[in-house]
Amino acid sequence: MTSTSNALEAKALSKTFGKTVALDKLDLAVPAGEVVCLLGANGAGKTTTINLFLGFLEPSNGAAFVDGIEVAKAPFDARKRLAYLPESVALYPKLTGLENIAFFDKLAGRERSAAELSGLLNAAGLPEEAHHRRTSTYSKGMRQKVGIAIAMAREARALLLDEPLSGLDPSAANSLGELICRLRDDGCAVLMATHDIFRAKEIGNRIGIMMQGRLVNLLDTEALDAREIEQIYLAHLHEANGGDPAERAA
Amino acid sequence: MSSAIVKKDLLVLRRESLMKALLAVILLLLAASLAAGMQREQVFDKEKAAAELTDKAVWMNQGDRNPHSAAHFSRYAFRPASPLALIDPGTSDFAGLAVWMEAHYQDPAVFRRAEDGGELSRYTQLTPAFLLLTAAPLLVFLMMSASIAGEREDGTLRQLLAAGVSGKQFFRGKLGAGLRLTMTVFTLAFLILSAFALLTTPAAVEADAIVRLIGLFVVFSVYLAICVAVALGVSALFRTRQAAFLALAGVWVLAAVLLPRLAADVGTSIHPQPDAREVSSQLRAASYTFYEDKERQERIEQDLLREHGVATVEELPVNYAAFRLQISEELSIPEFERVYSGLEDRYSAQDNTARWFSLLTPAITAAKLSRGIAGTDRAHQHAFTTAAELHRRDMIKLLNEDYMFNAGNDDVPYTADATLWAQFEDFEHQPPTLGAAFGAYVKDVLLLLAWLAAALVFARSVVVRAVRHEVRSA
Amino acid sequence: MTAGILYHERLNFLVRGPALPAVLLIVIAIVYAGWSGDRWRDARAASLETFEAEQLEALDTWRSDLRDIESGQAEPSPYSANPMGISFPAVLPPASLGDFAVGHADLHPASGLISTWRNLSSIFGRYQFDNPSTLAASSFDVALVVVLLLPVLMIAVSFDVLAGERRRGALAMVLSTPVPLTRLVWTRLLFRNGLLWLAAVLAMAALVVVNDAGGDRYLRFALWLTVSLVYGLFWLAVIAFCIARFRSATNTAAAMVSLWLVLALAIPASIATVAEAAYPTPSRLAFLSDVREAQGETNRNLAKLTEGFLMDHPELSVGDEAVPSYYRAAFLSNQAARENTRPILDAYEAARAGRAQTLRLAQYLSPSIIAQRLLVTAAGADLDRQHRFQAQAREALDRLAEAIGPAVVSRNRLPLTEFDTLEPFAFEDRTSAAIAADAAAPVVFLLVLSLLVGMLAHRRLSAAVLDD
Repeated sequence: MTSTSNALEAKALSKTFGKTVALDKLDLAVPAGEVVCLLGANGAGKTTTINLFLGFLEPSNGAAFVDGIEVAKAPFDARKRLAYLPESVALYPKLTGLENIAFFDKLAGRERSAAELSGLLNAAGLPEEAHHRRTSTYSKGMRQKVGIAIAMAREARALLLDEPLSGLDPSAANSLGELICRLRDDGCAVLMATHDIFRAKEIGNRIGIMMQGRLVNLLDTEALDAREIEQIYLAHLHEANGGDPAERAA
Repeated sequence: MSSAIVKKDLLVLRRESLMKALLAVILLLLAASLAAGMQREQVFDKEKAAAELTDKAVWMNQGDRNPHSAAHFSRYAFRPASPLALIDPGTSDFAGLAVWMEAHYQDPAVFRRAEDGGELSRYTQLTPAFLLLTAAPLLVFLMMSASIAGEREDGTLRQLLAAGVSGKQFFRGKLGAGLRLTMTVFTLAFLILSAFALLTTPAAVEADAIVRLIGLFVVFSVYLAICVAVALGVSALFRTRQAAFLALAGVWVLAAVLLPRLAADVGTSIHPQPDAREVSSQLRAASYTFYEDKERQERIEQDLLREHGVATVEELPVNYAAFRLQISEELSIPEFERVYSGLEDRYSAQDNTARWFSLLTPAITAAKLSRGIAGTDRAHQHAFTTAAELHRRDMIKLLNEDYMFNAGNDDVPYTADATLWAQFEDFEHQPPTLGAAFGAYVKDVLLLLAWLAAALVFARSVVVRAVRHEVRSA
Repeated sequence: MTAGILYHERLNFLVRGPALPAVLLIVIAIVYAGWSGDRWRDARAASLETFEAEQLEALDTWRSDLRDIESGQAEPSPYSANPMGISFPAVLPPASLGDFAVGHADLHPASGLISTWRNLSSIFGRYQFDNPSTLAASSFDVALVVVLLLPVLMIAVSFDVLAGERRRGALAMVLSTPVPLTRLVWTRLLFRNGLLWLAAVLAMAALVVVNDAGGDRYLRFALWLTVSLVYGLFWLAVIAFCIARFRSATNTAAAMVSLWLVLALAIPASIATVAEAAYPTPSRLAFLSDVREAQGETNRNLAKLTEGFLMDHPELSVGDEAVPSYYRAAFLSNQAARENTRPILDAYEAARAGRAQTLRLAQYLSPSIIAQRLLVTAAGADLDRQHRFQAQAREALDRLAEAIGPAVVSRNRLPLTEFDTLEPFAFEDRTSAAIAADAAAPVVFLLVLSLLVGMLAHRRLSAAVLDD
């Protein structure tokens, strides 16, 4: 039943909260070295999908697999193979950037030297002077960089990103995008929820469009440009809203 | 994974400046209380030695005197100081430290040092035990309040969970950090306290003092561990540091400050303190047992005359007045015992009522064990007053018998002299060792351990539930 | 604007906040403490009344014996109507507000016998029968509730006055409205604490009425209330200051509770310790030794002492030789013990005065000390009142010994006319006006301090900007 080729795989993955269907029979596979971006409005099911992969939610139906491990059955084994970057990376404000990454490194069972960890922070683009400063003084972009460094330190098979770019200035968003690409090139499978079509096109190999808990389209970014993707997305949105608002009004 | 959390938490805690300030204040107070306690105990030791010397000198130099007159004057029994009163003076200041071993009367222990206390002495007392039992928990609560609530508030808990940390590992890490820091600071402080306590301990009781110090260490450790666990559990009940801290501060005020006082007060409200006037008159009545009972006097006289085969008391080979004195002592003994055991029963009833409150706070049990193990509780006081009473009975008996067998019956005033006074041994009370006294505390030890178990179970279940909740609320 | 804030408050605070539990807790605590204090006071008053009545009755019998002997209606016996038999009861009745604070009253003797059978160490008889464990724990009285519990509850209802806005990031929204921040904070603080205090004051007022025992109770309660309210004002100012001073909600709460620990417990405990170490009282054991030495000495030299006493009083003629010699012996030995222990008592008084002086100055270090002292004094459970009773009883004993000494030593009877000039003991309490006068300075200090801290808080709040 397990497949080994895909780092992340959803099979008929469903989640309902009471009567609300948050995710409806999602079938999706992200092989190593590929970025899939999930595009959709708030409540379309993007975060639910990520939480199901994290094992924070139990699926109502179907299953999520990380590296062939069914998440619901062995959530801790699954999480060990994952790295996760939320919209706003939470760090310990009283600890420095270096101490934060050292802690998460140790949680993963590794004991990298300070120099190695510093190297990771550098690689994530955190300026050297900030390594020994408490993270309570960091900007959001700096926190996200520490988050990426932590993800890199985990050497995870798969990376889950929940709107990591929101609230970042363009240059910060750009460098974060580059970092994600670098992880992808190192063989990591990346699943990223986002609102940003242009950044999705830039980073993603494929873009999944989600509407009301369903994956309604899976586009190959090689074939389309950002403008076309936007058109398709708006069309789906239009359809989901039951036609053109102007038409409905008429 | 737990060890990583422990290490990280310790690092974070080391950076809490408010906590460090409060810790410094409490350690400073601990040093002050130690210094004040040492001074107090040293002064007291000197005073007691001087009083004992005077008592003996006055007794020996009373000159030629009728033995019964000497029995009225008699001597005092002084309570030996407990070396660990330095750490916990317990109830010792509120119990008399000298018993007058006079004829006809079993007196209560008098001279309660608290009566010499200043205006604030009934309000608070700066002792190491007060700091460890009352102030230290606040520090623990302040330290632990953010433990879980802070991680929830900051969102780091989610990140920990995403990194594959389980609820149990999280709990172990959090508990480990709290226990390690608390125990390190406490152990250091307690070692210093112990060193000073042992410095002032007479060699004869050193072995027992060491056992008692170990006992105190265990009691305070368990108590502080309960505080850590409770704090952890309460912290997990809330989503913000502030709410968790406030809840813990409330728990602290109730559990460590108010409930112990309320418990004692409820005890005395339900079983009021004895009315001193009433007890005094009961004692007077006990003392008059023989003299009030004319019939009995007659009977005893007839028995004595028959026994010696004589017709009048003047013919008796013993001094009849002295004989009556001794008989009156012996008949009063059960009456005195009745009065004092009535008092003890009432005290126990009060303390047992107060004990019900130990279901609400571990502070009452810990305080009780602390003063028990320090040798400064009511039970140790009772051992002293009992020993003094036994000594009194022997002493009065010896005096009466001297009178009885040496005075004759011819109405010539009889006096004894220093050779008789020298026959009396000084009162020396050896307080029970902890081993001997321990039986009285088993219930409370079990209660404290039950508190620890309950606190751990509570903390674990709340933490695990909070973690599960955090995952679900994603 | 204020009305608007209050409306919001009503919903937010009364319904969801800690107001109801806090109000409930304070009322329960005060009512319990009042009930318990009332029981204690009534039991003590009843016991003292019985004691006094019994003793006065005995004295009455003694007097009629004397009258009968003097009028020739009864045969004089060496034992009856002997001047050594005179014994006045001395009682310290609980003050009219005694149910509000037990203070020191449960530890010290409340009754004694003014009798020359007694000396300064035995004048109060045997009274040490209370359970030391419960004595050590002190009473849960209304003073304790006001001094310790009320500030805590004030903190509990006030700590989140701004914290909520700060946490939700709504402070900027508030600052952008025309309502000044200071008004928001003060309105909320006054509303919430006003509610708490209203409940507390009503509960205490109810106790005053329900447990009324007459006397100057209402005057004392007026003082009590003044002190309580000024003390509450101080904490309100401190709370406002903490809210203005600390940015994070946790720090605000932690700072308040730590301040409470330091002001209400740590400083009083330290000062008590320092004052006692700086002015050690002479030990009771030394006192005892002196009494014993004097008594021993007297017993050995009884004949000489009697002779000396009689030589000092050449007017005396020796009376009934049948009066047992131990009457005289007891009188003289107690007299000697009194003389011998006087220096110790003087030293004791000096140490006490030193401590009292220290505390009078040191009380300004912690408002809790001020409140504790003044409340306990207003309730008449202060240490000073106990000592005053003891001193007055000793003086009465001195007067009695002086009056009957010649008669006892010369084995004569005291004429009835002379007996009737002896005044029975009556404790002279301080008037409530005198107590209030003593309280004036600390109360004014506390008031000024509260206003200063409050103004400081106000200034800080007015200058509040969003720097975080």
